Amino acid sequence: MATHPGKLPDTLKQRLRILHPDYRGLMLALLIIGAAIAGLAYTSLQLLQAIVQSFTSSGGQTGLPRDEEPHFVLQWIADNGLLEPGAKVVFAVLMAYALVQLVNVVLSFITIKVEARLEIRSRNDIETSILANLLRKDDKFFLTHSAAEIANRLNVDSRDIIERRKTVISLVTTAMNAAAILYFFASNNWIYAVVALGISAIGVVVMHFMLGEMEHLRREHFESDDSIKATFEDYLGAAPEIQVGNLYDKVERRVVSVQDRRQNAFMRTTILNGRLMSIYATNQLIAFLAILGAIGYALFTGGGAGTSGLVAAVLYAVPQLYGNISDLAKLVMELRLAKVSERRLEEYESDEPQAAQLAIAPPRDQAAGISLDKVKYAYSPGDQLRGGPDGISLSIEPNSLNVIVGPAGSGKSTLAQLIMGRMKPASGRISLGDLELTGLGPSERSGIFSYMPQSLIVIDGTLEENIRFGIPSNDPRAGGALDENAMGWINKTSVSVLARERALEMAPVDQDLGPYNQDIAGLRAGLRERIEMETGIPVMPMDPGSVMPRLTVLENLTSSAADMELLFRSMRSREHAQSMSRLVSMPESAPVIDFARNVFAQTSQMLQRCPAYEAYSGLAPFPISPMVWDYRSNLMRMGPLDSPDPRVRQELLFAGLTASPPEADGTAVEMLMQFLNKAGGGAFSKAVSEQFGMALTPLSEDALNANLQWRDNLLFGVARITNAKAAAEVNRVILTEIEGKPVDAPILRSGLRYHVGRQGKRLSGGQRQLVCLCRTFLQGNPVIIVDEPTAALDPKNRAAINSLLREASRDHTIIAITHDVDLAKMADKVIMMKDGRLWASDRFDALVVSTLEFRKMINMREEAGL
Amino acid sequence: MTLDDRIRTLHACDFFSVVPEADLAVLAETMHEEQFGDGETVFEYGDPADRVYVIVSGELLIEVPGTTGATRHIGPGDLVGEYGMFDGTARSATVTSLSQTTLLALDYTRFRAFLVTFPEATLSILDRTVKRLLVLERKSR
Repeated sequence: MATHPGKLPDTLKQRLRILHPDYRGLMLALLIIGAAIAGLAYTSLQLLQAIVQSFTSSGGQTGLPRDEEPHFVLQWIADNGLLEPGAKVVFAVLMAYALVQLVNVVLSFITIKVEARLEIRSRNDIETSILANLLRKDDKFFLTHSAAEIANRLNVDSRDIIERRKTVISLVTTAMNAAAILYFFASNNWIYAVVALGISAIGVVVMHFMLGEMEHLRREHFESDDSIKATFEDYLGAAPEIQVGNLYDKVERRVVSVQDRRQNAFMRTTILNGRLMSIYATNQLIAFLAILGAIGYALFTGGGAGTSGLVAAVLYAVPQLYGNISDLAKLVMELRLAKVSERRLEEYESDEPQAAQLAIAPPRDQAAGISLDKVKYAYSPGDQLRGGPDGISLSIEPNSLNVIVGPAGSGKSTLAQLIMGRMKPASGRISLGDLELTGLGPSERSGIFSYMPQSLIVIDGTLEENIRFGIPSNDPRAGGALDENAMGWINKTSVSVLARERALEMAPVDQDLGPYNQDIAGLRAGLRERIEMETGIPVMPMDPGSVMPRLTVLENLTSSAADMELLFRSMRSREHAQSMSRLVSMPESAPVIDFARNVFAQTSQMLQRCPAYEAYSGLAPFPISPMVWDYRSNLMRMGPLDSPDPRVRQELLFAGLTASPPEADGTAVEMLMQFLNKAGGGAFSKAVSEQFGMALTPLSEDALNANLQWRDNLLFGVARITNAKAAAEVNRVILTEIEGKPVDAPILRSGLRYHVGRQGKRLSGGQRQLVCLCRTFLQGNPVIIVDEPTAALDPKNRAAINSLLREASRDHTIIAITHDVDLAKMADKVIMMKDGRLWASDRFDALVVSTLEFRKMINMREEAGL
Repeated sequence: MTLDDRIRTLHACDFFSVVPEADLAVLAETMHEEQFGDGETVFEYGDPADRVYVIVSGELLIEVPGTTGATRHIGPGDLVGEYGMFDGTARSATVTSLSQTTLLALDYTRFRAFLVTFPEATLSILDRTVKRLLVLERKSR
């Protein structure tokens, strides 16, 4: 969205206006082209008339018609001496007609381009504006507007609105076109024009009366469509419960009932549309007959000047004219109907003005206490005032650890929202030292508070992107290498442990490994020995050329345990499609393809009937990665795999290359193993290495390899890992061994690039919590508010995070909403909320003595083991 | 052994015969073949129990050590090792192959995974088991 310094960004309503200044240029361009096309329409009619007259009157010969008034085009050509003696008039006019049509084509092409630009710009701007507005909406808004509804409106309604800009231009240009044609009629005989216009008006008037109902139906249709999308969202979220409870029928019934509502609106709209269309059609027919009647009359009565040319031009122009006029009516209707969408999107307008990113924030090291003075609040305007008869009065010391406790619905989160200013108090004052917080805008608040909500937000990106998410883009810490402070928090929150573990499965791509090659051979030998000693798991040193059962066919062929994910992506890329077709044409690919068929024959039922990767991997005799599973499941849907179709063979070759020999039993494996062992220097093996050379580099015992995952890289061998427990054991030994060694740095860097997946799906609940905590600490504002910071953590991590909060409170004011008794015991102040008011606040020990309700609550928790 | 052969074997096995056709095909794929020669021990009393076997061909002898005469011969379609499936950590008998034998093996972990993924199959096995228990109960009265 175009924002100018010192100028407030447009509101959503302004942005949705058809004639928004940002698009006027493009719209004007469309208008000019449209006018030119209308002019061409008029010109081509005149030329057509001249051609016909020239043919019928003079047989296309030189000269002007003898028995009627010459068409002005013919006259003009003759007057200007443009004709060589003996040349045909009709040829010159025909050329002019062709030229006009050519220009028309060029202009239409330009129109398409300009329209596309207008459309995509409008779409981009609406999306940005809606997001900016929605992000400023309060929690209440999202209780009634689901994410699915928003996505639906963003799709359906914004499309209608974007179309409007083109529609307005089309409206004007179609009107110009129609006017040009009418003018042509009028210039011949004004009665034609009057008849044409009069009759076409009937359809427009009828349509006008139908519009009210159309609008109503459109709204109903869209709203029921929103509900269907929201139902999807709800039920997909509840999928585990639905599966366990076998509630599919129930879900289906609910969806069908919403669909019925939409169907009803849709069918009624369709019938209405049909009625409209039949009115237009009848209208056109009447108009056409009227015109023909008029022409017939003209011919019958001996006609006037130029009648012969007019007949031909009329036959060409009448369909055009009625096309235009019914288009006009439809365009007006579309504009009116888009009003529905406009009103739906305007619901997303935020009341809060979008101020530009403000640079002013209070100094970060400012230590100030927070005080609340007689604060009362209400959940919505006019609602009952809460906070007790005297309101909430509370003081929070600077740089202290405070916890808010209380039963569910007691107002714990509300208190935090009030302090942060996400909720405005109905009366009373909240201040940070001398600074009144109540009136502060969002930008000023952003320099004071760091907040970790209870529902953790993990973005679809790397670990590093996630922990830096809290830092605004204009902050120098947002980019570049992570500084010492950041690394400190990554270590303290144990995100580093998680990163290192993940790194073992990742390859050190895009890193300069040179500096870490020193004594790598020694480290590798030591590690292999230690693993065997501590875990009893044998580690076979890598030996290029040998066939290792754990590896895939491809890895065997290339004697490299390359990063499978990287390889997979590279093999599926467009640039390697040709490589695959080359490989498939080599006779040596046949055993690999046969092998793949055998793998499918052994697992096809599982692939077809297991709904998810987890289910498949629980049953399959040999593990495969989710990527390979996904690929195979899709391939199963492709059709019969025994087809000789080269495309199927190519896919099978790929499946064979990404499969491991032990996956299928029987003779196929034996054959394949023989082939692989033999193929060490064979043509096929060489071709594979060449085609996928980017991912395959020779292995060396004295250097790290960018394509080997860290675990294999550090061991320079393959551990016989048979289950997850064994893998964890091996990882533990490796990570203990490399602790404090220089090679730890690139490992951690790799791990921080671990992609956490959408909504952090590739992390556990506890890991997500650690990442979010790290993000909050890294943001490092004077006041840190965390909602249930340890809810998802195991006891060990919980204790660690509690001590971390205690430690951080030396230079931050920490407020934690918690159910954790241990954290409450460590706090400087426990704030107990009950029934929406401040019940008591003191140190834990003092509260236990002074407050019966607190004692009861604690006893209940301890009994429940919380 | 083709998939059809395996399905046929499972059909012939009383325990698995109740599993719906489509699920049986999946089950057949999760199993793997094991071969034993004449006189070879399949497992011994006290061994850790980790898989169930369906006999495809050949003959097996079941003996419970310490008891006399408590032996039983089993053949194609019979199931062995199913007791450890839900409870049990060690084999309760010794099983020896009396001929060239082909078995289909299914480890307990996969069998459990199968039961969790295919509830229809689980219900039919449960149904069959409960009916048997009722018969036994009636007999014992």
